[in-house]
Amino acid sequence: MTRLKLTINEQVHDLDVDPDTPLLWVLRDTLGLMGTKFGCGVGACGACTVHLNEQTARSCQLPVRAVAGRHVTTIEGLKGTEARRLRDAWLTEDVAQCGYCQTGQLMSAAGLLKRIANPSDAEIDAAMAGNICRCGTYQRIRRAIHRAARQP
Amino acid sequence: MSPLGTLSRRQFCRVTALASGGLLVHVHVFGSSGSSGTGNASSVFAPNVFVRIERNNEITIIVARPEIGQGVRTALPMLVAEELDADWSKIRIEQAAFVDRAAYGDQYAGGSQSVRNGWVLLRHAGAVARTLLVRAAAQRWNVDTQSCRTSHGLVTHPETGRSAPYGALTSLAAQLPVPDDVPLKEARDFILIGKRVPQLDALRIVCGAEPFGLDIRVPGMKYASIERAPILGARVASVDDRAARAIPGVRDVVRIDADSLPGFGDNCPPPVNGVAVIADSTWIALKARRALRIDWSGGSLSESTEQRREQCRTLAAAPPERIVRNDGDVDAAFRNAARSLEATYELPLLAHVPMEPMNCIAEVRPQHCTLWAPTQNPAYARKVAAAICALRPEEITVHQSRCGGGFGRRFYADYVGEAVVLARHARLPVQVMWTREDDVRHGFYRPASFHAMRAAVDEQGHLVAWSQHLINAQRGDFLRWELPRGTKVLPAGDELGPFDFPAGFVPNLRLGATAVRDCPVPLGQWRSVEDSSNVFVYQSFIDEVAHAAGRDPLDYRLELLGADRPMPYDSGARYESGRLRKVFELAAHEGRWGSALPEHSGRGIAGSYANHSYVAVVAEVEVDAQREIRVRRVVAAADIGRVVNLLGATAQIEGSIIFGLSAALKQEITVQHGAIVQRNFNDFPVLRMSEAPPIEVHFIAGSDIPSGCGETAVPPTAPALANAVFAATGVRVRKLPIRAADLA
Repeated sequence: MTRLKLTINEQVHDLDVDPDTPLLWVLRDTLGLMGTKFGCGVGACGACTVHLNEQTARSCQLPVRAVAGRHVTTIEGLKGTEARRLRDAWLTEDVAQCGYCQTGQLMSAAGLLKRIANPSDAEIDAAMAGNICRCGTYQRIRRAIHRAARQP
Repeated sequence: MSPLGTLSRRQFCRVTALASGGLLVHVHVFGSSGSSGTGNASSVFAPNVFVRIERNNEITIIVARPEIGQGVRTALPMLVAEELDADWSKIRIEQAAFVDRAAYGDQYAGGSQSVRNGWVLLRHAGAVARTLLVRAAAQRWNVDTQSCRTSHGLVTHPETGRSAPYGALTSLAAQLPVPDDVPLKEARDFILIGKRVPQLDALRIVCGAEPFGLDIRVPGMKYASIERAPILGARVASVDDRAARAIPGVRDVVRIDADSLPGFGDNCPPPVNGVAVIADSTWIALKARRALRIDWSGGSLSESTEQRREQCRTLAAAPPERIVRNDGDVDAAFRNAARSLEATYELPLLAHVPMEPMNCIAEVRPQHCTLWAPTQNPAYARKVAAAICALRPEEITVHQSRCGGGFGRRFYADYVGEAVVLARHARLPVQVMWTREDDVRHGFYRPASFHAMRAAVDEQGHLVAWSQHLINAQRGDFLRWELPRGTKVLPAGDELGPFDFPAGFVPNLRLGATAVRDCPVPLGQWRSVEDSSNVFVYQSFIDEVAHAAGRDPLDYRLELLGADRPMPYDSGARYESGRLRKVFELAAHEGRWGSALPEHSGRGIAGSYANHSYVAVVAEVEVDAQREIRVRRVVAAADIGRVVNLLGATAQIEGSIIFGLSAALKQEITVQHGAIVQRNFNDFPVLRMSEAPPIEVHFIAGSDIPSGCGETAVPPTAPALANAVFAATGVRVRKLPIRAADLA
C-alpha cells in the first residue's frame, strides 16, 4: 500500500492504495464513483473511459500510481458547455437502451468535441472507435454528437 | 375500514443514489386493505400494486419487469399513465422487488412479451386509480361522476369550473371501495401511447447516477472473483491458495463444487466448478484469483467444434431422427420436378456479451436470503437461492436493478447461485463479479446448427417441394438438469417448428430433425432464440430458389405467400400471411428495391414472423476487392401491432439489426479440447461505430394489440445481409459468420 494524492473531479484525495490498482477500481470501490463502468478489463470496450488532463483514457488500463499529480475527470465531474450540450443531445435523441456503456460513450464524445468543435462522420468514427455498445445505439450516438456540436 | 388491513403485503424497493454515486437500498413493506389506502392514512393513495399517488401530487408507477435495455421502465409506466391521465412530467418509477406471480403477474424479461402482457393489466391499474379519483372528486363536489373529466393529473368539473389535483383527492379516494370493472380508453383518445417518449431513466444514465447491478453497495459487503473450470465439466483436483491468501485484503478462498449443490429443476442450470477469492475490493479479488494454483481433473477434453461439425455432416446424410412435419409426397415431388437444389447451411455457437458482466450480491441470514441481482428472471434467482439455503421461497428477497443488457444470458441464475454459496460461507454480503473473459467462456450459448436443405421447382419455377433437415444439440436437452446427462429427454426437432416458413405455402414439405446428444456445451436462449438460426436458413435458401428459378427474390416470396390468409401457428395460435406480405412490401418500397446500385453493391431482403410480430429487412452492401463487406444501409418494416413508445420501439429494431449484423459479420464461439477458445471483445467482436450502417425503421400497425419488439428484427437481418452479399458478388453465403475467405 502506498499513499497517493489524486485529483479527481477537481477534488484532491489522499488515498492509501495498492499503486498497481487500475484507476477504475479506485474510482468505483474506494471513492464510490460508480458512473465509470467495467466492461472488458482490457481496454477494448471503452465503458471505463475517463479524462486524464483532458485526454480520454481507459481507466481499467491505468495503474493508479500513473495518474498521481494529474487531473482525472469522470462522468460525475463532466461539466461545462460541451458536457451540457452532449447530455441534452443524448436525451433528445433518446440514445440509451440498457445505458451501461453510455457514460463511457459520453466521455469519448466530450473528448472529441474538446478537440474538434464540429466533427465529421469520419472524425466521429475515429474518436468513438474504442467504445462498444452491445445494444447497437451507434446511429443515435452519432446523431447526438452532431446535434451537440450544432448547438449554440 | 381500518387502513391497516391484512389482505396482502407488498414490498417496494427504493434504490437511492447517494451524492457519491454509491447506493443505499431501502425496503418498504406495507400492508393494504380492501380499500386503496396503504396503511398510512396521512399520505398515500395506492389502489393497486402498480401505482401510488402522494398528497404532493407525486405519482409513482411500479415497474415489476426487469429493465434490460428493452425500455420497459418507460413503456410499462406509459400504459398506467395513459389510463390514469397522469401528468407524465411528474411520474417517477420504482422497480419492484420480486414477489410472486399473484402480486404483479410474471416478472421476467423474455419472449418479447412484457408490453403485450401488460397491455390490459397495466392500463386497468391506471384506470382503476383514475376512477377512484373521479369518484372522490364527484363525492366532494356533490356532482355526477359522468360530468367530471381528467387530464394531466387533475380532475375537473367543466360545468362548475371546479378542479382538483390528484394529490388533493388521495385521502378520500383511499377510502373508497376498489372497483373491478372499469372502462378502458378508446385508441383514438390515447395521449401517450404511440408517441415518442424518452426513457424515464435517461437523465440518471447520462449523469452516471443510475445504478446497475454492479454499482450496488450493501454495508459490510465483500467482493468475489471466481476461477472456473477451463474445460467443460472439469472439477477442482487441488488448489494451492497460499500465494493468494498472502495478498493483503484477501478474506477467504472457497471452492464451488457444483455437484454438491441441490438440483434447481428444469431449465435452471447450476454454477460450474471453480475456486473463489473473497476480498475487501474487486481488484484484490481479481489479483488474488490470478495467484491461485489450481489443478483440474476430468471434463469433456475431447469436445471440439470441428468434430461436432463432422458429426453433423454424417448425421445429415442419414434420414432425420424425427419428422416434424410431412405434407404431400416430397419424394415423388422431387422425382418429378423440373429442377431441384440442394445446399447445407451452418451456424455457430454464439455468446451474448451484454456490456455489464454477470454479477450478483447475496446476503444470507438464518431465516432469510436477500439478493441484489441484475437478472431477467428473478424467479430463477429465488429458486436457486432457496435450494442452496434450504429456505422457503418467501424467505428470499430479490431486488432487481437495471441490467446492462441481457439478450437471454440473464435468464439463467448460475451467477446468483455463486453469490449465494459464497455469502452463505462468508456470513457476509458478497458480490460476485464476472470478468469479460468469464462471460465469453462460461455462457449459455446459442446452439450451433447444421441444416441440409432441398427444394424443387416446376417448369414455371413454382416451388413444389421443400425439405429441411436440422441437426443440432438442442438447448432443451442441455437445460433439463434434473435428469441424468445424456438422457433422451426431448425428441429431436425441439428447435424446428412445424409452422416454420414455408410450411403451408408449398404442397410437398418435409421438416425433420436429428439431435446431437451428450454435447457438454452449455446452451441457452439467445435474443430471438431458434429464429436466429432458422430464419437465416429458410430466408437464404428461398433466395437461392428464386434465383435458380430466374425470379426476383421479392416477387418470388410474395407469390409464395399468395392470397392473404390466417396461417396456423404454435399452440393453436395463428398468424396472418397478409401482415407478412405488407412488411415485405413496405421494406421493399422504403429500401428502393429494384433501383440501381453502384458496382460491387447489392441489396437483399428477408422477413419473418415471431413473437406475434412481422419484420422485413432490406440490406444494402458493398463488397470490395479484398472481400470486405461494408453495410451501406438497412431498412426495416415492422408490424408489431400497436406501437406503445415509438421512440423505444424504433430503438429496439435498430438495436436488433446491429445485433444481427454483429453475429453475421463477426461472431463465432468455438470449442477446442473441451475449452471455449474465445476470450474477450478482441476475438468475439461486436460491431463498432464505423461499421454501423444507417438504419431506417418503418412501422405498420396490423393489430390494435402490441406484440413483441425486442427480438423480432434479429432473425431477418442475417439473411437480408447474406442475400445482399449474393446480389453484390454472386457468392452464396451458407455459413455464418461471413468470412472474407468464403467469398473468394
